[in-house]
Amino acid sequence: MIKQSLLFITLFFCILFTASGHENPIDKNGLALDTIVHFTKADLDSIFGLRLTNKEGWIFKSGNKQDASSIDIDLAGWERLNPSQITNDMADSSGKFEGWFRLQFTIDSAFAKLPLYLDKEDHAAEDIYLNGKLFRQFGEKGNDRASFKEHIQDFDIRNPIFLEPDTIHTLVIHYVDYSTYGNIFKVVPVGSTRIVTNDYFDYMNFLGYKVLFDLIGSFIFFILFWLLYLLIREDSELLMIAIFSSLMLLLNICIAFNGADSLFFTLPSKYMIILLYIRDILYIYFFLFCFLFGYRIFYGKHSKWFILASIILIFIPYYAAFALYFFIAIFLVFLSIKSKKRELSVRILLYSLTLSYIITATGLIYRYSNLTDDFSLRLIMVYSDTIGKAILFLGMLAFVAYRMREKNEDMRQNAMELVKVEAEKSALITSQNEKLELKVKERTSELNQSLEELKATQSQLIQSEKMASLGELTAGIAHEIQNPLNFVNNFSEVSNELVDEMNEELDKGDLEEVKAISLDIKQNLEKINHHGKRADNIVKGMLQHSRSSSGTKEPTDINALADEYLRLAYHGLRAKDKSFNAELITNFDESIGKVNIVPQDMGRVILNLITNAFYAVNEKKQRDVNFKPIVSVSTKKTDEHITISVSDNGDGIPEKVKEKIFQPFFTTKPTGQGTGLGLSMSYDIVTKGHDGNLKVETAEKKGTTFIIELPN
Amino acid sequence: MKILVVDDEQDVKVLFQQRFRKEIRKEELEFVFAFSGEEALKLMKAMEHEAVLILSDINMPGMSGLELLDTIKKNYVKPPPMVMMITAYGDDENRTMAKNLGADDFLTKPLDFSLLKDKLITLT
Repeated sequence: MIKQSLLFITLFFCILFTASGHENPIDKNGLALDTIVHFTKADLDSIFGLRLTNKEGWIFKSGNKQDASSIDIDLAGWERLNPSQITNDMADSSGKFEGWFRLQFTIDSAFAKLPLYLDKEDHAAEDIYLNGKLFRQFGEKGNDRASFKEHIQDFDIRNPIFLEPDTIHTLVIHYVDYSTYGNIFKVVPVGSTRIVTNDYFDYMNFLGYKVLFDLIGSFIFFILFWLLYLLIREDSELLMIAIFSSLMLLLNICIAFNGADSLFFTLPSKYMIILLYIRDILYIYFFLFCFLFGYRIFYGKHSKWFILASIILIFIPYYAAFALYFFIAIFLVFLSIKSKKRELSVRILLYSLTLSYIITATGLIYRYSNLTDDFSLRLIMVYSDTIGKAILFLGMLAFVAYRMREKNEDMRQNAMELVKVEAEKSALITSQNEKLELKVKERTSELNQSLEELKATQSQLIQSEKMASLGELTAGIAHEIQNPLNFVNNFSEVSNELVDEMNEELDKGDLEEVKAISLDIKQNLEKINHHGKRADNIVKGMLQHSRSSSGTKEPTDINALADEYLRLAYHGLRAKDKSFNAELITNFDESIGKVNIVPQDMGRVILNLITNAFYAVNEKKQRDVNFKPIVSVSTKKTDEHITISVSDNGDGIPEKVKEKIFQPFFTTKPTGQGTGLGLSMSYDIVTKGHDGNLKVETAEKKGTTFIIELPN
Repeated sequence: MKILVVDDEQDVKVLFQQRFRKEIRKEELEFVFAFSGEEALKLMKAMEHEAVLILSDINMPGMSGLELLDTIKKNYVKPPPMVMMITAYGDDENRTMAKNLGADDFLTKPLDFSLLKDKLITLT
């Protein structure tokens, strides 16, 4: 009985269970599998429509053993699970996740006659059946990983559906996905399938234009800042801005294909992962840049801590970096407040950095933390980064412009300063010039005076030289005059005696003798006359020598002139030095005749050369007693020249001395014995006064010949 | 005794011939003339065996009167001819040099012919 009772009870429960299970099927967890979800207008987001996949009411069966696309199927083995609950460990050993999702729902009349569409952001391949009919395919399920094609979102409007209100609709998703990089979540939440209206596509396309706008804008600034930097290379801040504009362009490129804010279409997941990773890093750097640039502009140098932090931040998760944002914001506000007294460009940049920072950061925080579902606010937040970036770019542009203006102003100030300094310098130079001119005038007048004195000294020297040579001649002249005077005296005495004698002979009447005596007297008178003239000539010559040169050329007997001066010089030297003697050789070309010269000047030259010759042989004689001094004077007439040569067999002139002998004041004679002007004056007289040439031929130890060449 | 007159002035010969024309004519004095020291030495050589009185000028081109005196005094030892020096410059230096070289007498120009005549007659 008990056994029968137990069987009955068991059967009862079994029947009860089976009956209730059939009417109200449940899964292994006891959750109902036949829930019908009712959607009202409130569930429909004005932009993103109705996200189906996170709703309660979904049932799921793993694998593909059963075609579950029909409306009525056996729900045995199904379980309650919605697509957004798919986890990584649901994939099989090959990384494949496949299964069927079913949802039964009704809608209220608000959906009536509203064209609805299906769309999703994730990359899983889905075949979607509505009320038993294949309605939409996303990607291609394929048979294996190779033939699987993931879903690429393109925001094209396809197949509108018009759902009947208050009717049960069955939505079935045959879901296939493969894990990528060991993760089937990839980058976009799985199971993102939603029912959307036209507004969704309008909004997504609107977002596409926003992204395009960001992209073009950042590209323009990228070009602009690099151009600016290339034009003004020395500006390191411009380089920072240019680099930042490049990063910003890259950031916008990453954003343009990241799915949510993409540019009209998305990329396969494997590319999107990379782009999103870069985007996240760049976002961090966008905020760090605000810090860096603010620091750089305000303090005029980079922060070492910043560079260190930048390196570390690459390895910090995107969301963790948000913690820094708050401190950076405080820092930027602090800099902006402190920059009140700074240049306009610095203020503009700091204000724009801070503003851009706050707007962008707030927008991002709002977006990613889903703090609001308010569409208008959401739209503002979506645009916040565009606005932030635009403020930053425009701020940087204004900074560059004002910086240039400030620099120009600085340059203008510097230029004015320079002009002022130049003017002062110029004034100083002018006054210095005036002083200098005064000094120059003073000096010139002093120099003129000195020149006058020099000229006077020169004439005195020339006179001295004349007098010196005259002095050398004096003894010779005395001798030369004395001799004729002696003859005059002696002949006149003798004549006197002869007259007495003649008178005696007259008294005797010896007329023959008287005649003889008278002839003698006559001869004596001629002799007296001759010697008188001789003395007269000497005196005249002396006077001529000491007199200033008239400078007038006159026909002159060069041979006589040379001979006269040779003798005068010789006797002059002999008078001074009794021991001196020399053989005088003359070789005069009688065909020369009279030559047009200034006799005083040329006489002075010849005398100078002869005196030098005597001096040279005398010097040699002093050292060598056996030396026989010879001085020769010769003249010669050729077709071109008349030459007067004065030679000696003295020691000759050393080569070094030879170069200088015609220089004024050069002398080898001991101090006080020579003026050093003899040869230089001679040279001038011959070359300048007579268009001739004064040459010297010399051989050491053998002698010297001076040759005067006069034009014929 | 022959008197050798040495002077580079040619007119000395005329002067002596006229001044001593009587003595020459009477052959009381005999003059020989040379116009340089070298010529005098040649004449001296020609008159090697004759007693000679030499009247020489000092200032002459080439061999001077003093050199001539020196040569004569050195070369003619037995008997050394008498040498009277005549010069326009009666300075002490020439006089001393002439004496040192053995000049027998010293006359200055212009010649005092009366004095010379007395001296020559005395010596000859």
